Amino acid sequence: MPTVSINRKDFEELVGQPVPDDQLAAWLPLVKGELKEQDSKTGNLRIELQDSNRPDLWSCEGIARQIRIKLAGAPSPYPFFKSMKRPTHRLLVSAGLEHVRPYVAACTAVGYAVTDEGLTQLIQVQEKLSDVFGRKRHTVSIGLYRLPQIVFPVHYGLVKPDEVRFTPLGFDEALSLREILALHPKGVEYGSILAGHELVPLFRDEAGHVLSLPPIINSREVGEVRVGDRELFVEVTGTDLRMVVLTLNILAVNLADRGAAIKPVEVSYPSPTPLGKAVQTPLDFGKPQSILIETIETALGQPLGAKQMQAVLRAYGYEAKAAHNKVSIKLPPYRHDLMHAVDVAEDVAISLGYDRFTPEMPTQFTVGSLSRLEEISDRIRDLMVGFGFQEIISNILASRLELVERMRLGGSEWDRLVEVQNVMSKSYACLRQWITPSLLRVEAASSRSFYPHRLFEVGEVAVPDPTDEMGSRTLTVLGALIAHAGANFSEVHSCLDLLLFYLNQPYTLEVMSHPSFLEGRAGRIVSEGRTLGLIGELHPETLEHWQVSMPAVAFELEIDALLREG
Amino acid sequence: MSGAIGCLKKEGAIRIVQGGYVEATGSPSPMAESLRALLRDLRGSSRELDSFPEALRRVIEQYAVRRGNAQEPFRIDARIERRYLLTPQGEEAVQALAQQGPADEVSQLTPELLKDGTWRTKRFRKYTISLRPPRLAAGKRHPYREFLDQVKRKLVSMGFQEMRGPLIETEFWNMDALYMPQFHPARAIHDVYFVKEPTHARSIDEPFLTRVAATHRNGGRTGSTGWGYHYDQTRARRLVLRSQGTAVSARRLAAGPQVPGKYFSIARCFRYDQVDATHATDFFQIEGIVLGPDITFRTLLGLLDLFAREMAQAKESRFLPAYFPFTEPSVELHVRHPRLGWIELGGAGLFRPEVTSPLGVDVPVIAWGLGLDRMAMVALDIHDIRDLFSTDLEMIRTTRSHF
Repeated sequence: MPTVSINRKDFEELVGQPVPDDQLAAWLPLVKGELKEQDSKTGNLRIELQDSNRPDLWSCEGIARQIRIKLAGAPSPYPFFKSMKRPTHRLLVSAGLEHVRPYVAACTAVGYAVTDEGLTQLIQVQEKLSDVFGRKRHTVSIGLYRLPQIVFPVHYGLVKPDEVRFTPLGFDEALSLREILALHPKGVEYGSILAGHELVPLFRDEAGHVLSLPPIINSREVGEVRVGDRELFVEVTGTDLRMVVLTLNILAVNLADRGAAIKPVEVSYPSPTPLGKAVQTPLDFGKPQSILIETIETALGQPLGAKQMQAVLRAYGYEAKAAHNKVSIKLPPYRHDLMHAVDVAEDVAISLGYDRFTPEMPTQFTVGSLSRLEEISDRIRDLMVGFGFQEIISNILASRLELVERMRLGGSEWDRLVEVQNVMSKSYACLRQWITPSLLRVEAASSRSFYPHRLFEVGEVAVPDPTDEMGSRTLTVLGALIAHAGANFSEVHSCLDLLLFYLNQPYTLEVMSHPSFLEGRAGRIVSEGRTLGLIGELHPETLEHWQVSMPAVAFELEIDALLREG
Repeated sequence: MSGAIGCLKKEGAIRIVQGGYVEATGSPSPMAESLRALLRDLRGSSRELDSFPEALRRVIEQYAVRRGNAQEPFRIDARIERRYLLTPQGEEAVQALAQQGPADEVSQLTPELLKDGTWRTKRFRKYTISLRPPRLAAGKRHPYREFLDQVKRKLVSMGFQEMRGPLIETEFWNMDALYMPQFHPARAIHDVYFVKEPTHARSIDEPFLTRVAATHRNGGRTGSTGWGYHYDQTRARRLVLRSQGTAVSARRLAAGPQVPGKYFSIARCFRYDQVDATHATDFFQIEGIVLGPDITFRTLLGLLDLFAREMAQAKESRFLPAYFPFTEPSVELHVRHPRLGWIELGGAGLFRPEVTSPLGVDVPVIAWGLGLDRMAMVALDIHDIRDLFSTDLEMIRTTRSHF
């Protein structure tokens, strides 16, 4: 979810009236916005916008527009979408771009002298749209230019990286495209998008002047918009035609809201696209659709009627016409987030205001219950507390050092773990396969706390299992550990014995060699040939590895295994 | 000085003549004589006050140091003598003890003493019971788990069934089934932990894979346009550490839930985040679903109202529009907490048909999640989220919960 900075004065001008704090708070739900910061001196506000499907809202113009529509009760008209005249400006796309960066949309904006705040907003919306909506310029990127320096038609073509040189923004001298990709900060940041292509995309005008190397950087000469500029050329390139056109539509309405006259550009492709061979942009490619009013009323649980439905939708920017039991709707051209009737239902609720709906309790009767696993886990926890054990909760992520090496398990049958591929920190690189290391972690940190220490945890572990569909199983396990000067096998055995007695679980101990425990003092807990867990005196070297200076004994019991047998 | 002159004038030993001069009359001053004799006798030593005759005692008392006048020749030290006598009962006790003979004093009553009755011949040492007792190594539930247990009990009491799921999930159940497109920003390598080996599950259960794939592609049979991209079935099998409890809900929907039904899970989830005071590497998410033919946006608000009252004892709550990829409409629940002010208690919404329909559910479904860790931290009086999973036994032993 993007966070945008806006200036209150600029915002108020776009809304068309003063916006005191309480009014702002009342309006922000319309755009799913949350005020994060405000500076009363500069009037700067930082607003977080939650909806990742509404890029039209990611600017001062967008937020103000949604509020203006609410105040007017009807959508703003943007006549340039309906322009029937063939555009005078043309943009020609070369063959071969379909394999690199196929789509482009463009327009001109004349008659608005760019202000300081307007420029800030232009740069911000360009960044948010190409970064978040355009996935770091992969699917969408934007270029803005000074129109008077461009000779039409503009050519969107492919060139060899060494063939052309131009002076990029932020540099004083001309570089080859290859040098820009290697040396310019933006080339370093976004160059990977063009990696693997022998030819790279380039915008040039009819006179041969370079406009930009999309999606990397503009030419300094033509592509540096400044405060006071009155004539702009705007272009969007990318890999998804609808996203490219939608992005241009958003930029066009933003500039129109500031007073610019938008003139469409005709984009000519060498072969047909889903929107045709020649595409006039900006383009309203939304289609009207008809929705049963009842569908929305049922979802919301509130009858609204045709008349109110139409009014509420129009007050949220839709073209809407209700007749009988249906409403015919169309999204404004700067939105393309309608996938299902439920999306309309939410817009209706937001337009009306969530506070206009009276909460109603679900009335149908249901029986609450815990899973068998949770029930038996709770019984075990109660018993362990009764035996004098302190409960522990630990992180499930741990390090191989803790789970294997300190436990002396390297090279043994117990050294397999579920490991993370994209490790953030070595301390959290693996999922624990048993609980004892978690308890030793507590023991190692707690020598100052008075003895005896009796610890237990009932928690989840992940055990690798090649026979499983997912390669591992999640098990719920009880781990218990006793540490004090006289801790020994018989003490911990007594606890296990009493626990299994109360759980009505017969068992025997089978001698086992396990590197974490002292030889001859470790056993497998077995019932009818199935292993339920293990028990033993921790090996002095294990304790040394953990820097624990008290004898310690432990057992583990797989609670899932108890259930399977019971 | 003026006191001495006053006294001599009174005795007639002096008189005051014109011009304010003092003149001796020739008569003796008994007071001056007494003082001279006393000072000579005592010469800095001390003597019992009672040993002086009454007249001299008066002189001494008159010229003794007292409050407000330290410039006097004598000092009277009060010396109190106390005498203690046995009461008649005391005398009796002495008699009785003398008859019994000397007895041992013991500190501990033992089974032997009780068995042969010799405790009767013992005296039990009296204790100073106001001292702090030694500390007890007691068995106790973990304070955070106590908090979660209470949440669990509340949910069960409201008619919710518990559900569980695996720690390791496929992208399919963790995200695809929740209609999060495979190109969704939150699915990138920087938000989710991927499993190193095996990297992929062997298969995804049908018919869910086919249906979900179609839904992402073009909406399938859900009445949706879909996301309109090429759905990658291999990516669906990619194994990740569960990043949201909603994965458990998705599996429940596919497994044929009861209708009407209410479900919850307290699921351990993992996020690829730098660990700090507000971000834990793994944490509990409290999530669930409510499904039934009567579920609407208004019953969703009703459920959240119930949560606000039951989970946060909130008297004030409000609903704000929110965004989750898998719900529409979506709501954020904010409540006024007595100590924290307005906080976000949870998020919820109605599952999109693109989620429920491919999983075979044809009634509306509420998906809800509660963020209770901040409330837990207030209840346990801790300020660092990592302390919920503290390894410090002393801290765990001494943490009290206020809920």
